This record gives sequence, structure tokens and C-alpha cells, in this order.
Amino acid sequence: MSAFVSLNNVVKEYRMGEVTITAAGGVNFEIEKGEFCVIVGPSGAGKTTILNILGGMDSCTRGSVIVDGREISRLTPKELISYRRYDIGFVFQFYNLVQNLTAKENVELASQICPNPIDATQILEEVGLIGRINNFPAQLSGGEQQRVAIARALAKRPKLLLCDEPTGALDYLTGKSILKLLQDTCRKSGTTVIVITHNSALTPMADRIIRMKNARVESMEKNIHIVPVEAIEW
Amino acid sequence: MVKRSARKKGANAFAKDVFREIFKTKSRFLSIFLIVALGVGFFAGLTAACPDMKLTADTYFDQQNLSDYRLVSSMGFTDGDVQALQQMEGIRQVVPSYWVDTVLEMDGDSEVVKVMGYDFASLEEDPQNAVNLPVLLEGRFPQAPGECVVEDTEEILGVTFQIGDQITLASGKEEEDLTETLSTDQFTVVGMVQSPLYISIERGTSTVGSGKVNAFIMVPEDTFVGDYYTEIFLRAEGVEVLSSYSQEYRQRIDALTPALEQLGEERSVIRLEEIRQEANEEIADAQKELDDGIATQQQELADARQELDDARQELADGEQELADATQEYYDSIADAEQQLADARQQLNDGEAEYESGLREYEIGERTFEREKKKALEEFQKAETLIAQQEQELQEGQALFEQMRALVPGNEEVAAVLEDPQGDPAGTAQMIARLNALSQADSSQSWAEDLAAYLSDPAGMTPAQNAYHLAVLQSVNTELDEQESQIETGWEELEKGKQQLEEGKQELAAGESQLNDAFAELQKARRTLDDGWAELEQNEQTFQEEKEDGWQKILDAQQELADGRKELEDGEREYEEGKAESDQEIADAQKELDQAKQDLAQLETPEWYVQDRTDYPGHTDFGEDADRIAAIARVFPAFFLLVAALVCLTTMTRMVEEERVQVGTFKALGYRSGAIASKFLVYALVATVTGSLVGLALGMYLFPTIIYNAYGILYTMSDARTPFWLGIAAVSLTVAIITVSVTVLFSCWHELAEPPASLMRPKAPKAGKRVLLERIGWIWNRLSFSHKVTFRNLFRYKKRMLMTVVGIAGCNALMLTGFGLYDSIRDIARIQFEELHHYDLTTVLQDDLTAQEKAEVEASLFQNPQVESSIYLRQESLELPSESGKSYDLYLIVPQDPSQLDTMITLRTRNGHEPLSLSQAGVILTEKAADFLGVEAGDTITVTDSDHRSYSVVIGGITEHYTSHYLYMTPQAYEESFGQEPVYNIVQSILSDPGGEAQEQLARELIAKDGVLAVSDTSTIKDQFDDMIHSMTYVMLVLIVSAGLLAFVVLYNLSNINITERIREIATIKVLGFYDREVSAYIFRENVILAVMGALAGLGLGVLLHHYVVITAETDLVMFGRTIQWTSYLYSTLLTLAFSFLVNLVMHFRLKAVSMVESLKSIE
Repeated sequence: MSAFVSLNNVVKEYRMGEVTITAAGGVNFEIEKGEFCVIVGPSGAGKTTILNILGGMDSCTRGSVIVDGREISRLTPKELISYRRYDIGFVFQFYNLVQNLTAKENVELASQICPNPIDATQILEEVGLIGRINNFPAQLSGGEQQRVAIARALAKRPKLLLCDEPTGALDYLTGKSILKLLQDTCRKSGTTVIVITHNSALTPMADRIIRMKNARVESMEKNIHIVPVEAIEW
Repeated sequence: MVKRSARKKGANAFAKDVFREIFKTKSRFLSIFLIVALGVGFFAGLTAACPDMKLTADTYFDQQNLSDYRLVSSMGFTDGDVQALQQMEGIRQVVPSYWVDTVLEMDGDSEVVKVMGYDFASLEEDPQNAVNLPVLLEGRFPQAPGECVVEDTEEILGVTFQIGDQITLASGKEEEDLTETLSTDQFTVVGMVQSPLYISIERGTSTVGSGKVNAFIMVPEDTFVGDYYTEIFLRAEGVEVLSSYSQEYRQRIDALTPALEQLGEERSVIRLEEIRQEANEEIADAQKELDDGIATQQQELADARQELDDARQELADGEQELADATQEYYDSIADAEQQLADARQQLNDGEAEYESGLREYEIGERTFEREKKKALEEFQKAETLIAQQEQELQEGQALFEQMRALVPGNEEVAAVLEDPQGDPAGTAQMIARLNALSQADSSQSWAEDLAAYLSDPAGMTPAQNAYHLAVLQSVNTELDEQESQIETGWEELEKGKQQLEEGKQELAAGESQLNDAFAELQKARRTLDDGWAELEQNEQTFQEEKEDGWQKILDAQQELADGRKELEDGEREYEEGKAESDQEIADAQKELDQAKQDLAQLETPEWYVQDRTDYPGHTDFGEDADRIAAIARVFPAFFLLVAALVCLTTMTRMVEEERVQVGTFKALGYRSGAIASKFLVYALVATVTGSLVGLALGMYLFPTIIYNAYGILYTMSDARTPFWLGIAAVSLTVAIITVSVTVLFSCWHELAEPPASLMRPKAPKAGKRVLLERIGWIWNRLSFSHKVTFRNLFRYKKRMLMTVVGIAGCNALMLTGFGLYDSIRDIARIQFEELHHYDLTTVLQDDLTAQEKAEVEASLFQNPQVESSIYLRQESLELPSESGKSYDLYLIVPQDPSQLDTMITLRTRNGHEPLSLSQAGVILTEKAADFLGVEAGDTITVTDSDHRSYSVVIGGITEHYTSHYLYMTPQAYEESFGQEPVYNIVQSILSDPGGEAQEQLARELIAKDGVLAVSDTSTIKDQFDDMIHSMTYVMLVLIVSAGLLAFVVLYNLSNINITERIREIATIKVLGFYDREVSAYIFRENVILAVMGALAGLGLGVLLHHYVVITAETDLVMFGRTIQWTSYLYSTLLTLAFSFLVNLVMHFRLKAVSMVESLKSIE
């Protein structure tokens, strides 16, 4: 079974005047379809860079990125937008909800550009926000906002759900519930989920654990002893 | 020390921070810089335009020593006048001069050229004191009579004179020769000039040619030969330092004018006396000359008469003689003709006689011939008969003789019978004889019987014997008779022969007679022929003699006719000569009478004191400049307002962005003032640099553009655009204050917050439901993206307001620009197309003679080229207002008020309801009514030139754009002014206006006595058209400026919008919105705002336009008040185009937004 996501020698360099900063220095890994993958590493390890490249928000300097058989590292800007539009769901640390839209509208913002979306109300119900669908983000707690963000990402039925420190701005319990939501989503819908975190305590819940350090993959392992989120403590 | 150095260090760090900030936020800095530069530049530029224009003009006037006054007098000026003026106080220089209007024939057109004398000699010597110094553009100034300098006539006449060209001028008046005024009428062009007296294309009116001066030329003063000056230029004392258009100058001049007018009145009386005296002498001389002339004429005429009478007598004698000769001729002719006729008659008689003789002869001849023939036939017949008779006779004789021989004698037989045997022989013989007889003649049967009887003598019996004997006896008697018959026959034959002979003789005699007659006829013929020949000869002679005689008579007749003709010629010559000399005398007499009358009627000459405002174009230029100033009062203020708003939003955003830093500074212990000063300095650096750039460019650019736009209309020096410190200072101060206030206003709230809350990121502005959501039936119908748009619109209210205001401002400015153009165009369009219909106005003298009037009417009322004409009374009145200012007003009284609407439409501006002149009230033009604040039903007071006041009731206010007019009926005039109106102008509509025919007609009219001026509407309209043309540049300036404004405002606001919502934009990009969708997401708001702004701008523009129009109007002109729908359309379309342009630029800006950067964790 070939990998659903495959990164081959991905290099990302930024030039800042005379200085060249290497954000990713030959990253290689593979993720199987339907896996819940956690990429873990300290700040500046290049996790976000890799996630951005994988999500079509950024391009790599060298190397190839293949998602579901498509080499996205070779896509044109326009194709990249389509890729983001139809294949990718993003969840950010700071939710990035549109403040001027209600929870439901934030989900609709994504679903309206998608050919076969999940109904906004339904998905919000699934993430447990049925009672708050007409609230503005400012009226929601951080966890609730993140749930809206997840609902927004999932509404598009993405092939790949990319989460950048989804619990980073949340308290412990809320963070846990969010992680549970992500894990459940992965299990139920079979969506491949990639979560970035600097918290290695989260690794036991993952199917696959990729450790990064200094812009490189330090290790990649398949977790055979998957621990449910509830059991994890940090 | 420490403190100070610390402060210094702090100040350095502070300055560094500020400049780094500037460097970091270039686009924000630039937007403040630009809007300030634009606002200040526009303000300063437009404000400076008016003073620049006036300065340019004034500098030009000063450099060219433009006179402050021009004096003209109806009778010229003398040296005495000049001296009097020189002694006047406040007069610096008195320059008497000459001018004359002439006519230049060019390509079939006659152009009116004003010839101005100029003292070029002293110009060379002392240019400082040369008044109205012409600017030499090319060539040189004239040095000798016969040389001239001309102006560039390309625009005026469509022809440019070249240096070296020869021009020939004519007086333009039939009875006058130009050489009475000028020493030569031929000039060589030696140079090109422009004169400060003529800054516009207007050259004034004239009494020659078309009535309008087309161009001027300047010639040396001594070219003029007149004995008095025709104009005097004055320069007033101490006014050259004042601007020609300033109040101070005006006041000085206004103060001096009455003194000049006073002097004029005094001098005029003296001048009149001089003229009277001079004229009286001249009249006396002329009278004497005339009297001499009359005497000479009488004598000469009498001599001629005598000569003619003699000739006439001679001619009459000749005629008598001829008549006699002719009679004689006719008599002699008649005699000769009678004689000839007699001779002819005689001849004809002879001829007739001859003819009858001849005919007789011929008849005789014919008869004779016939007779002769007959006679000859008879002769022959007779001869034949005679011969036949002769033969018959001879045969009868022979037969008889035979018988006789054979027939026995009675005695013998009787003897035998008595003796039958007596003689047997004798009886036998007898028997033989008898037998022979019977044989010879069977009829003589008797003989046989007898022979037979005799032969048988036996049988003889006496009875028988007797019988036989009796028979024989009868035979013998018959024989005897025969014998006698024969004898008679012979006799008769003889007689016949004789008769024939006689006939033959007779025939011969007749022939001879005939021949004699013929001979006689021949003779008569000869005589006749001779007679004819003679007659012919005589006749020919007569004919010749007759013709000779007739020719002689004809010759004599010709001679007489010639003589008669000669006499007639002489007579005619005499009459002509008499008429001519009579006419001459009459003319001279008339002239003399006229001169006497003129002298009697001679009015005191009048001085016309013209100051600079009367110079062509001078006032117009000032008004044009003032118009710009009026615009400058409105527009820049608007710009500053928008600039302030832009500055406010920009700085608010800046303060928001710097929030954390403000908190940090505060936490570090900086005071609010110090922190605020950072923003202040930041903004002020942008403001001051922007202002300086704006001032530098604006004060040069705007006045130059505007001046050059007007340059089409005016001839002056190049634009002067000094840096007006006052304007600069005001602009800068206003900009600095505005910006400072906005900066302080925008950071007020932040500075009041405690550092701790400042350090926290400002909670994003919470989403809110908008009012529209409560109206479910609309909201639910909106698409998702439209909902978002509406939510956003109301979320950023301040920005929304700003955008609307900015775009509204832009559209308002453009609409004002376009509307201003419409308004000015309307003056010409409505005034000359909808309100005034006449093409030609002819101004007549009040005291027009019947003859003059008839002549004018022939040209204007009975001319096929003129469609219609009406008589009107026009009078100048003053209309004093409550403010103390008084307005010039024309009173118009149509002779036939019902005809007025063919020339002038009176109507209300709103609704175009027609007004008609009635006795109830006068009709006043709109602008004048506005000045006085009066309406229909009110009473106004007008004053005439003698300061008499009259009150009239306004019956209506009519739409009108140029000058002020008051219309009233003749009855109303009579009631108000107590006299019947004298109609002194004629307005006419031509069938072919503007053509060659019109010019021809104008020329024809101006040449007439009693016609003071002719003005054609198209010329006035053309002037307005030029003004409109120059307005297009001003409009362009406004539109471009408004566009720039719109662009800067929209760009700035969009920029702020984007930075403020950068995370939102990045988010939707991450979500997979295409670039187009991203732009639409943001710009849908902009489009709605632009449309709202544009609509608001239309409303605002209408108000602004109204204000500008009212301020920009001069006293005499009302601008159109209506903006065309196309202007609404154009300005709105342009505004939307500008906002579209901004969106386009922003589209690329959005495309470039980096998701990764924008979504990086919040600082």
C-alpha cells in the first residue's frame, strides 16, 4: 500500500538578504491514508513549514510532496488554491475565525465554495455546538471557537486535515476534548489527520509519530499502542 | 547633565524610532503625504491662481506703462486741453495722441483697422516715459511715415501680415478721403507688436465698415495731419505701485475721475467757443464763395442761352428755305410729268390708230385674198364654162349643119311628092339622104318613115304626102330655130368672155390698192417708233433730273437735322450745365445751411473719460480671475476636509497597530504627551513634506494651467507664478492644525488606557447583527456572500463613512466641474438660442430724420435678406439696491409688444412658462431680481442718467443670463416717464445669419446716417464660446484633481481595510478562495460604498455647483443653473471608473497577501 502522503527530501530555504535560513532541510516521511499523525518537535524545528507546504500555503524550495498520488510541489498557484479548496482542511492555533460571521456562517464560508459539503448545522452538531450556531466568535469560548474551526475544516470533507497546534491556546481539558474530536473524526470519517504540536505527551494517541528537530525528521514511527485521548495526561 | 544627555539620547532613539517607522510603513506615510500634498497643492494652487493672474496682468501693464486713463472727446483736443491736464493735480503724465478707424480691403472683405499714432521717436529716446509701450514681437518700430507695425492678426483676420507687406487703407466713408487725416494711406509693415491696450481679442466698436474694429496698426505720430489730437492718455500719480485690479487702485482712480470730468466740462466750453469762431469764419468765407459762384453761373448761363437762341433762328430759316425748294421741286416735277404723260398719250393714240389701220389693212388683205381666191376660181370656172360653151356651140353648129345638109328642103320633097317619079335619081338621092339621117340620128325616125314612104312612090297618097310634108316642114322650122339659137349662143359667149376680162382687170386694181395701204401703214409705224424713242429719252432725262433735285432736298434736310441736333445738344448741355451748377450751388447752399445749422445746434463737446476698466478685455480679465478665486474658495476647502478625514483614518489605524508599543512605552514610563508626539511627528513629517511638495507644485502648476487656459482669450506676457508666502503659510498652518488635531483625536483613547490593557492585543471587534437581519424577508433572500458584505459594511462604520464621503466628494467635484461647464455653456446656448432670437441689432439716433428712417427701413424692413425686424426703445437706467450698490440696467420698450416674442422670449426659468408684457407690470431679468431680492408684484425704483427716479411694479421675472434688462410696454413707458418712447434700436432676424450677407448688411447699415452702431449676436456668442473653451481647462483641472482625490482616498481606505483584515483575507485564502473570489469578498463592499458615495456625491455636487455658480458669477452675467443629465452620467461613470481602478490595483495587492506571514501567531 503506497503512502497517502509522501515527502521526499523536501527543502525549504528563505533568503533574507545575505543570510539563507533553512526551515526544512531535506524532510522525508510518509503517511498512510486514514492515519492520525502527530508531528512533534520543539519550536523552530520546521513543523509549521512542513505543514504549510503540505497544505499548499507555501512551496518547497526543492524536493517533492505527493498527496494522494498528486505531486503538489509542482502545482501552479491556481492549482494550489483548488487543492486547498477541495482537498485540505486547516485548523489553526488561533482558530482564525471570521469575527464578523456567526459560527454557522464561518462554516458556511468554507462549505459554500465546496461541491459536496457537509451541512453546516449538521457538522456543528457533530462537533457539539448545536446550541451556539448563531453566536459570533467573540461570544464563544476558545474551545468552542476551535470546534467551529474544526467544523469549518471538516465541512469541506477534506482528504487531509492539517492542525497547527490546535490546543496551543486552550486549557488542558478543552485541549483534550478538541484532540478527542480530531481523533474521533479520523476514526469515524477516515480522514487523514496531521496534528502539529510541540507537546510530545500527545504522541501516544497517534497512529504515526514523526519527530522533527532542526529542520529534519528525527524519527518516524508507527504507534502500535494507541492510547485514547482521555488516558493521556500532560 | 545626565538628565539632559539621557533626554538627548532618548530624543535620538525617539527620532530613530519615528524614522524607522516611516521607513517601515512607507505606504501609510505616502498616503498621508499624498493627500496632504494634493489638498495643499490644490488649495494653494487655486488660491494663487487669481492673484497670479492679476499679478501677471499688472506686471505687464506696469512694464508697458499702461495709461490709467484714455480721454476721447467728440471734438478732439487742443494743446490748451493738454496744458490744462498737465497742470492738474494727481496727473503724472499727459500723452496726446491720434487714432482713426480705417478700412482695409482684404480678399473681398473690408476689415476695420484702427490706426494709432505713436511717438516712436521718444520711445527710442526714453522708453521709461513712453506710455502704452507696445511689445515688439518681431521686426522693428517704424521710423518714417509710411511705415507701420501690426499686431498678429492670425486669429482675428485669419491672415498674418508679413514684415515687408504693403497695406493700403481707405477711410471707409464715401465723402471722406483718408488723406485728410493721414499723410499717406500706404504703409509698409516693419514689425509685429502687441499692445497693452488690447489684452483680449476685443478691439472695440467703430463707426466705419462693419462697425467693429478688427485689428490695429501703429504708425508714427506725424503720419497724422489733423490739427487736433483725437485722444489723450493719462498716467495718474502714484498708482503704478498699486495692482491694477486692487481696491486701492480703484479708489484712487475713482477719486481722480470726477476731477477729470470737471475739467472736461470746463475745457469743452472753451473748445466749443473756439470751434464756433472758427466755424463762423469758415461759413462766411463759404457764403462769399457761394455768392460769387451764383453770379458767375448766372452770367455764363445767359451767354449760353443767347448763343442757343441764335442757332435756333438760323435753323428755322433754313427749314423755311428747304420747304420752298421742296415745293418748287414738286411743281416742276409735276409739269414735266404732265408733258411726258401727254406725249405718251399722243403716242398711245397714234399707236391705237396705227393698230386699227393695221387691223383694217389686215382685214382688207384677208378679205382681198379670200375674194381674189374666189375670183380666180370663178375666172377659171368662167373660162372653163366659156370653153365648154364654145365647144358645145361648135358641136351644135356642126350637128346643125350636118342636119341641115341632110334634111331635104320642103320644096324638094314637095316637088318629089308631087312627081314622085319625076326625077327618080333626085328621089333616090333623097331617099339615101333620109336614110343617112336616120342612121345619124335614130330620133329622126321621121326621116326613115319618109325615106320609106318615098321609096314606095306607088303608095303615095296626097294625104300622106301632105302629112309627110307637114312633118318635114316642122323639122325644117326646128332647124331654123336651132340655127338662130346657135347664133345667139355665140353672141352670149362673146359677152361672157368680155365679162371675164373685165373681172380680171378689177382684181388687179384691188391688189394694187391694197399694196398702197400697206405702204402707208409702214410709214405710220416708222413715225410712231420715232415718237417712242423720243419719249423714252425725255423720260430718262426727267428721272435723272428728278433724282438730282431730291438728293439736293435730302441733303438740305440732313443739314437741317444736324443743325437741329446740334441745337438740342446745346440745349441739353445747357440744361445739364445749369442743373449741375444748380446742384452745386444747392449742395454748397445745403452744406452751408447744414454748417450753419450744425453750428447753431453745436453741442458742447463732451469728454469721455475712460479708465482701465473701459479698456477692452481689461475688466473681463479681472472677472475671469475673480471667477477662479470664487472656485478656489470652495474646492480646496473640500480637499482639506477630505485630507483630514483620510489622515484621521490612517492615523487611527496606525495607533491601533502600534497599540502594544504604546503600552510598552507607557510601561517604560513615557508620558502620554511623549508617546503622542511620536504619532504627531510621524504625521507632521508627512504633512510638512507633503505640503511643501504640494505648495511647490500647486502654486506653479494650477495658476499656469489656468492662466494658459485663459491665454487663448488674452494677449499678455507669460504667467507669473511667484511663491506666495501668505498663501503658503496659511496652507501649511491649516494642514498642520488639521493633521495635529486628527492625530491627537485618533490616539486619545489609546493613551487613556492603562499599559496592561494596551499590552494585550485588542480584542477583535466583535461581530454584530445588523439591522437588516431583522428584516427576515430581505436577509434570507441574500446570498451568503452578500450577507457577509452587509455585515462588514456596518462593522466598519467609520471607514464606510470615509469611503462614502471621499467618493461623494470626488463625484461632487466632478459634477461641479461638468456642471460649471454646462452653466457657462448655457449662457451662450440658452441666451442666444432660446431667449434671444435676433441676429442683428441696429442702434439709431434718437433724432432720426424721415429720410434716414426710410433708408434704414429699406435695409431692415423691406430687405428679402431680413426675415423680420422690430423697433424697440432701449435706454440705460440704473437700478439701485438696498446695499447701496447700483446696477446698470437696460430698459427695453418694444414698439409692438405682441411682436416682441419674435426677437426675445420672456419666460420663467423653472417650467419655462411664457411671460407676456402687459400694462400691469414690467418684466425684470432674473439676475437683477436676485440682486434686489424682489419678485413679481414688488415695486422697484430705477433712476435715469439725470438721477430722476421712477417706480415700476414687477409683473414677472424672466430667465436671462447676460446683463440686466427691464421690459415694458409703450403705454407703461409713457405712464412712467411721461413721454412717448422714441424707438432707437431695431432688432432683426436674418434669413441667412452669420453669412457674408450679414456682414454686407452691417457694413451697409453702419454707412448710413443716423445709424450709431450695428452689433451682431454671433460675435457676442463667439466671445462666450471662447470663454467656454477656456473653462474646459478649468473643468479638466477639477476632474483630474477630483480623480486624484478619489484615487488617494480609495487607495488609502482600501489599504487600511486590507491591513486591518489581513488575517481574515489569509484565512479565506487558506480555505481555498480563488483570487477573484478573495477580491470580490473584499470589494463587494467597496462597490456598494462607491455607488452610495457616487449617489451622495450627486446630491452634494448639485449643492456645490449651485454655490460655485453663484459665487463665480459676475454682476452682469448669470450662469445657467441646470446641470445636464450627461454631466451626472459622466461624473458618476468617471467616479466609478476611478474606484474600479483602485480595486484593480488592490486586486494585485490582495493576490500578493502571504497566508503564511499573515497567519503567523499574533504578536
